[in-house]
Amino acid sequence: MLGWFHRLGSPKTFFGMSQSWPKTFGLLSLVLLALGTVWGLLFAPPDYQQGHSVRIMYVHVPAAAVAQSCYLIMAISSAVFLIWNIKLADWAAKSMAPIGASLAFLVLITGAIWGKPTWGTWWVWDARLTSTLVLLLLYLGIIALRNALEEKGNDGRPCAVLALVGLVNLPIIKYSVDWWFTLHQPASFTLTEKPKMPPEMWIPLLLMAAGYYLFVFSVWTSRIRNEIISRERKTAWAKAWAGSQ
Amino acid sequence: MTFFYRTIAREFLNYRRKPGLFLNPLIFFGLVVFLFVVGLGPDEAKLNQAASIFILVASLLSVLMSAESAFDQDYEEGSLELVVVSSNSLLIYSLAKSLAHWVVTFLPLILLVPFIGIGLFLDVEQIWVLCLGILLVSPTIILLASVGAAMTISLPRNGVLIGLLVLPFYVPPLIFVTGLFEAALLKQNVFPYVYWLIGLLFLALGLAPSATSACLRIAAED
Amino acid sequence: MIFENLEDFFWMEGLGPFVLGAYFITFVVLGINLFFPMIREKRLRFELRNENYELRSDARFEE
Repeated sequence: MLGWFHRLGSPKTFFGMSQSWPKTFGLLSLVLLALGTVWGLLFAPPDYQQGHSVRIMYVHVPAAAVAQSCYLIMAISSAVFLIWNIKLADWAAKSMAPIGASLAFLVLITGAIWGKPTWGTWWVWDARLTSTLVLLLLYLGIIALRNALEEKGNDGRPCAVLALVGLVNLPIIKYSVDWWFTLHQPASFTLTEKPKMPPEMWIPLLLMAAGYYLFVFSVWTSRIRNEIISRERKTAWAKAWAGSQ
Repeated sequence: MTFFYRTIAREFLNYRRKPGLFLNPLIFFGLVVFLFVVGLGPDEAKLNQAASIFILVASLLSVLMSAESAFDQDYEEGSLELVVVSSNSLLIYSLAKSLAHWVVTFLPLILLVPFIGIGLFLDVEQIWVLCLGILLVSPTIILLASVGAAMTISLPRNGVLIGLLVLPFYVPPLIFVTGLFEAALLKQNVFPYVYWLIGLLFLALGLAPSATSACLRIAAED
Repeated sequence: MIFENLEDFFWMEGLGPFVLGAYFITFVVLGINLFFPMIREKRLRFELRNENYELRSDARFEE
C-alpha cells in the first residue's frame, strides 16, 4: 500500500500513468454535462413556486458542492505534502486552487442570477451565498500567497498550512454565518431543494454533479501534468514528451 | 517557563525602544474610527447604533498593521533561527510573542474604548459590553494574526497579504461579538455568545500556535 | 419536452434570460477552465522543443 503511494508520488510515474486522463475524463464529463443540461433545460418540470427559474438549480447546486469538495481535496493534498513531503501533492494543491476559486465564483454568479427572479434582488445576504463568498476569499488568499511565495522561489509549505487552517475554519464559518443569517432575517424562502424531488428533477441534478466532478478531475490532472513538465523540463522523459507529438 | 518570560521581556524591550511599532497602529485605529464618524455624520442616534461595530472593525485592522512586524525583526536578525535550533519550544515562543502583542495592542485599546465610547454617545452599559466583547475576542484575533504574520514572514511588503489571508477567518469572531452587542442592547441572554467566543478562543489557543510555529520553522529552514 | 416551440423555450414565461444566462455563464467558466491548461500545455511543448533544438544545434556547433 505504502509502496503504491510512493510510486504515485513520483512525478515521472504519475506523468506516465495520467497520460490519457485529461482527455478521457474530460470527454466523459462533457457528455454528462451535455445530457444534464438538455434534461435540465428541456425535460425537467418547472417548479410550482419558482416556475422555470428552478432550472438554474442544475448548474448552481452541483457547482456549490464541487467548489467545497475542491477545497477538501486541496487541503488533503496539502496535508500529504506537509506530512510526507511529496512534492507532487504540493503541485496538486496548487493546481486545485484556481479551479475551486472559479467554481466558487460560478456559484455566486448563478446564485445571483437565481436570486433575481425568486427574491427580486441580485444579492441577498443568505447564509449559503455568504459562506460561499468566504470560501472564494479563502481561495483567493491561497492563490495570492502561492504567487508571492513563487516569486521568491519558496515552496508551498506556508500555503499548505493556510489550506489546513482554512479547513478547520470552514465549518466554523459556515455555522456562524448560518447563525448570523437566522439572527438577522427570518428564514423566508431558501434555495434548497424540497425533500421529495421527482426523479425527473434529481436525475439531471445527479448527471450534472457527476459531470462537474469528472470535469474538475480532468482539468486538475491536466494542470498537474503541466506543473510536472514545467518543473522537470530538464529531464529526458520531459523532452521525449515534448518531441512526441 | 523562563524562556516564555524571557521572550516576553525581550518583546517589551523591543517595543520600548521602538514605540512606533505599537503607537502607529493605535493612531491608525483612531483615524479609522474618525473616518467612520465623518462618513456617518454627527447624528447621535446613527453613531450610537454603529459605534460598537466600527470600533471593533477598526481594532481588527489596526492589529493587522502591527502583526506585520511581529516576527520581522527576529527573522532578519537571525534570532528566530536560534530559537528553532535551540531546545526551546517554538510553540512557547509564538505564544509569548502573541501575548506580548496582545498587551501592546489591545490593552491600550481597551483602555481607550471608554473615552471613544463617550465621544460616540454610548451609554455606560454599552461601553462595558464593548469592552467585554473586545476582551473576549481580542486573543483570538491576535492568534490568527500571528499565523498570518508567520506565513508571510519571508515575503517582502507582506502587509496587504496578511490582511488577505487572515480577514476571512475573522468572520466567525466578528459575528459572535456583534451578536453579543445586539443581545446586550435588546436585553437578551448574552451568555450563548460569551460561551461561543470563549470556545473560539480556546480553539485558536490550541491550534494557532502550532500553525504559527510550523510556518516559523519553514521560514527558518529556507 | 416541456416547451411547445423554440420561442417558448427562449422566453420561459419571462425567466428565459435568467435561466439561459446562468447556463451560458456556467459554460463560459468551464470553458475558461478547460482552455488555460490547454494553451499552457501547448506553450510548454513549444518551449521544450525549442530547448531540445538549441541543445542539439549547440552540440553540432561544438563539433
